Amino acid sequence: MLSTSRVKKIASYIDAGNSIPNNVLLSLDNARISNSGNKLFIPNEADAGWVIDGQHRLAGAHEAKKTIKFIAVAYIGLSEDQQVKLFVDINREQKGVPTSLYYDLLKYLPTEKSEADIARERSADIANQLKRDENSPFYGRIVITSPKKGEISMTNFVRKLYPLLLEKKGKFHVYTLQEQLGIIDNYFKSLKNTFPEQFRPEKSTFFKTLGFGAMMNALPTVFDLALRDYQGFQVSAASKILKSVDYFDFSQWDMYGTGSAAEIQAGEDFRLELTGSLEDQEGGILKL
Amino acid sequence: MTFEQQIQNYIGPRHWEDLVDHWIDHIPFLMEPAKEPEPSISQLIENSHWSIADQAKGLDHGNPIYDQLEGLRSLVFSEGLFLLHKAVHVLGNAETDLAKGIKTWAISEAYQASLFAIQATANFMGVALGQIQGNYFLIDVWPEKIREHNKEPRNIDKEGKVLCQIQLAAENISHKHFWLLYQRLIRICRVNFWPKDLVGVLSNIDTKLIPKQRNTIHYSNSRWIFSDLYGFSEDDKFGTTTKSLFNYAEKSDFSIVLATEIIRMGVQVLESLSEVTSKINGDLELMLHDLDSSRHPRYAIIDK
Repeated sequence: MLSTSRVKKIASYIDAGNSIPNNVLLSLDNARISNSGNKLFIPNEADAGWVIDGQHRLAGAHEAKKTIKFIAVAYIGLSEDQQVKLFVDINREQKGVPTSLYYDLLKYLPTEKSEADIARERSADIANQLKRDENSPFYGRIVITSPKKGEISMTNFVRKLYPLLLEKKGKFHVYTLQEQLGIIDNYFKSLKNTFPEQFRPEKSTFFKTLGFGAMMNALPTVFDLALRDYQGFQVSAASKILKSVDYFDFSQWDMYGTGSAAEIQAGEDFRLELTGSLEDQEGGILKL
Repeated sequence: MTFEQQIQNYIGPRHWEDLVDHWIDHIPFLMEPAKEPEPSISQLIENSHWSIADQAKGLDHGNPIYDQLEGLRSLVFSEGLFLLHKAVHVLGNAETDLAKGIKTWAISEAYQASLFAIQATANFMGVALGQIQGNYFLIDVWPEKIREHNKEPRNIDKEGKVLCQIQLAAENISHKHFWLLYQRLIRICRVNFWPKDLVGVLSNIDTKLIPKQRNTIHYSNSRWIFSDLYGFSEDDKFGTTTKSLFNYAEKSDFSIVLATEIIRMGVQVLESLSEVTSKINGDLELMLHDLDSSRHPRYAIIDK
């Protein structure tokens, strides 16, 4: 989590004789205050406390040759939830703390979360499971910090998934966590089945921001078609739907640039091609 | 236990639609079409973390090993695919010879093509025979789940996924055993696009008849089925109907038609898979292109 360059800069700053007037914020799990209230006893053990704010300043001070004093504000006996909430509240608006990490920690927040927060939390849960699943196309590919080619950031993953999981209006809100996870996993497995070329490391089309965003925009349509024609969303069902457009030329997406408008356009291109190729087929088993 | 008893006891029924769902995750990614698969199934098992050869010495054919040997399923599929390519190639040789009026040797070639194709089909159904250190092993990568009353299931892992089943073959393996396995599989596997009457006749042909024409050519020093050692005369009708499958006769196109139909059934399996994955597009295109070419004048017209 620590940025080495930032730590070095702070160390240099300190060695240049500067002071750091703002306090560091600590959480001390097993510390206690004396009866007189003017002494603080901290157990002399590893992990005696946590740095909620000021990690880089402390690391920089540790690296610096000169000694420096910090003002410290310490909370004693905070629960894990409280520690996380403090960290999130303090760091959410600051630059440099990855938004993805915020999502990762969101699940530890106590109640009174907004619907969007709950949906984001669910999305982060799904991301965490998928990236650890050796059989998933997302294995090792959802990252907290700057994604390399072939990786997608947690931020983008959550950004595109959470609207589909919103209570009441999300497309997949009626499904369980495992079902929602299965939908995403099966979708990308089907994409890999149908467009294996796009999964070549040098392309990784569906792990670029535009490609991922576009295909997530198209997911509701693919899902509806699979449900209509095959009454399910197994990999084979979704693959059969996608196979109808296995000729689709993704290189045209290069013209769209980046941003939400580009994602919408690219997704719409794909969606129209898909519905167009399947419009002559008979419908499924909808009872009316 | 005989091999026939062994496959009856241990090779269970399956539905092709289920196999499609299973295979999707195990078809190797971005295969080069018609490339020799590496390593072989035998090499994979031999180099596995447990010494199958050593274990096999202590096993009898009634006790399979169950394991999630990584890569085995992909290899069974890849070898099946490569075997079908070989079958198509050799059938092409047979048909080319037929077109020149060379019937007898075409029969031998066709038999070899069918031998490749039945192994390919078995692999696509999840069953293979692999040879390791002189011993043949019967491998089923999609066995039925064994559910045992009051016991932990033997062939299911902690996540509920079925394990591969590997056991020493009950007999030394010859062509006959490959045919027995093929007949067992097409009889018990539900594959909706295979013609029922064809499956019926193929699964019930006396296995002694199947290699008879070829064995006559190869092992009877004084026999050559047709009078075409030197003079060749074309016969456009030879190998164009499936009738000889139903009525075996030595001087017939039995082996030609047998090979053609078995290969056709194998290609249909691939066509079915290609509906759900593009990974085999290259292989299928190569095969269909060859089958549509002048190398296969009879393949397209049989019984039409």
